[in-house]
Amino acid sequence: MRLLTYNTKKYLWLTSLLIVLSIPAFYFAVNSILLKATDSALKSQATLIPKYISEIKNPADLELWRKLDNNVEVALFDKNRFKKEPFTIHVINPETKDFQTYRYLQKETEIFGIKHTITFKVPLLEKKELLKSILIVQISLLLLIWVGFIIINSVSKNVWAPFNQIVDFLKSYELAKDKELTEEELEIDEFNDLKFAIKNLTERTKTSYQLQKEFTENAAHELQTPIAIIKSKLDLMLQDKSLSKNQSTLIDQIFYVLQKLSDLNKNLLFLTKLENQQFIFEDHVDGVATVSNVIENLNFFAEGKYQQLLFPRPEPVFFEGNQALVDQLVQNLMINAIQYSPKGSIINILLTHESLTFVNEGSKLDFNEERLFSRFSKTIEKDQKGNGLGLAICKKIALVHGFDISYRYQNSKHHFSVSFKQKNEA
Amino acid sequence: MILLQLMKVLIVEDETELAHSMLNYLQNQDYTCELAYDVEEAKEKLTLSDFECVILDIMLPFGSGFDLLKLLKESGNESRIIVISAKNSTDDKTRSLNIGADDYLAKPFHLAELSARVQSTIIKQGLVGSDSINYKKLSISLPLKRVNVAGIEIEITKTEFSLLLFLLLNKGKVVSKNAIAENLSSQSALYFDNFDIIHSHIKSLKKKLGIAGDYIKNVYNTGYNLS
Repeated sequence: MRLLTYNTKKYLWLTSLLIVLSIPAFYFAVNSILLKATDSALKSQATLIPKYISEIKNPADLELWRKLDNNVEVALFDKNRFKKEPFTIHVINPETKDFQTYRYLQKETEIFGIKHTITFKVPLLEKKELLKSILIVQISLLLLIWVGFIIINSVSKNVWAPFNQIVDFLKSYELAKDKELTEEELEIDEFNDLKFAIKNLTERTKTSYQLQKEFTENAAHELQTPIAIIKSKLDLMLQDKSLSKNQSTLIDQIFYVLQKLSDLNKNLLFLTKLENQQFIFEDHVDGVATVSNVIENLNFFAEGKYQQLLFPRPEPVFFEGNQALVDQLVQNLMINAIQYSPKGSIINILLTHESLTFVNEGSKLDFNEERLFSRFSKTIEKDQKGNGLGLAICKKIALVHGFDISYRYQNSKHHFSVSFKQKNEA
Repeated sequence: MILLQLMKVLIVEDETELAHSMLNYLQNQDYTCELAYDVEEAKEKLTLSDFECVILDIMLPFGSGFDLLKLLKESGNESRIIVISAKNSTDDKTRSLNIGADDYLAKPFHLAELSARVQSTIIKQGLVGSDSINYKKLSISLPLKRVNVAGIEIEITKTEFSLLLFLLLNKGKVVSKNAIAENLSSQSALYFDNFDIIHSHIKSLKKKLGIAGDYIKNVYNTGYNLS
């Protein structure tokens, strides 16, 4: 539920409840005000009694007064029927059969020396009528409030627009991409605070990301020189005529790990560069030539394992991309295929307009396929021949070219496939 | 027989240790070598004498190697130039070759690789008057990629030819299996245990070469030596 709807609902409930409760309250309040007003009117009339009495000279005058003033009754004093305070009486109108309510006030007065009761009466407003008026007023008030809420609601949607913009920005936010919130001040303070807090946050994140990227690249780069020196010193050491077998083996072992270190470093540098988007994709890449070239470079590996690299009837494929990256992609997949297929097996490389696929024999993976393309996947490392970055690099290269890379196991064979179809065309 | 003694090589590299290693290895190959640690020193040495080959680092104090490369090309200097760079970026490679460098080698490299590059660059430019390399009964032709043993042509695979050439360009030196693997794969990253593979190629090569096969010796399983 939207905050706006939620708030409105709560407000509507509250106002409706208050209005319903206010109906009896109003009724009682108005009623008592009316009674008080009536009573004070009656009382002021009663103060006029001595004036009236002074005008009455004989019983005929009294009779005339009775006849002329319908709202006054004069009767002989009856102690039992006399009430000092004003009171209310319901009378049934014999003609309309309606209840009529009156307010009475009685006064005790002597006329011609005889005690009389003078009663003043005033018709009261019908309770039903009163209730009806209050209901009409309150219900129309309620309706007006609802209409008002609807109007405010539709106006408020515009007020929330900047908030929605901020949310959209966050949803599509990518660290590596340059996209920023606008500088303009917003009308609502809270949204303004939110916006500037987010702006601040993204800027800080971006800065630290930038620093980290630079650090990785610099660190990898700085490592190259010491590795190069060690490598050259070992090369020189190997030339020593008095080298014993033992020392020679040690050098060999150092070479082995140094190679690993150097590859790891190269790959880290490569990945960082890929992520920093430091490559230009304007080369006209010839698919057949690229694969043939990599086969030539790596054939000695396959030969050494008595494997055959078959590249039958490739279809000519050309695309815009980065030649060095595509070389690396094909090379990594090829090394992968050579490395993980048994001696004397055949590795098939299939190139069509849609895809490039490497098919090689091998036993089924004993880990999740999803981890295949992730960096330093631990499960792969157990049986480690590589440094766990080769396929991660492949995936990244495919990604930056808009290609899709996938793996499947079929007929006891591994299939690594790079699909050229641009993702956005699919 | 190539007369390397006549060949002068200038090494322009600011990293002292690496420069000394290169100097040491190449001097043992009978080149005459000189060192320069920065662009200014290199310019000075280049005006004083002619070098057949310049090994040029890109990141140098007081100016980049690219500037020196441009200067040499513009002034019509005929030295062969091999760029070495730690940046390992293809842009650097393309840029160097476009400006006019003869070869490009990414750090870290094996000295055997560097030596082979220097020598083949010199041979390719016809500076030694012959495009074939002869050693004892062995003779290999670079442009034709043919091998002769005592005058008889031997059928060998492309891999075996590269292997033999690499060993020959480093004759008298112990070349590690690692260096061989790097050379065969054109310096592309290799993630695996390549030793058995190298060994099986060597075995097959020795067999095909017959008597000349005995020139190649296995040094404690660490490397190979052609002598």
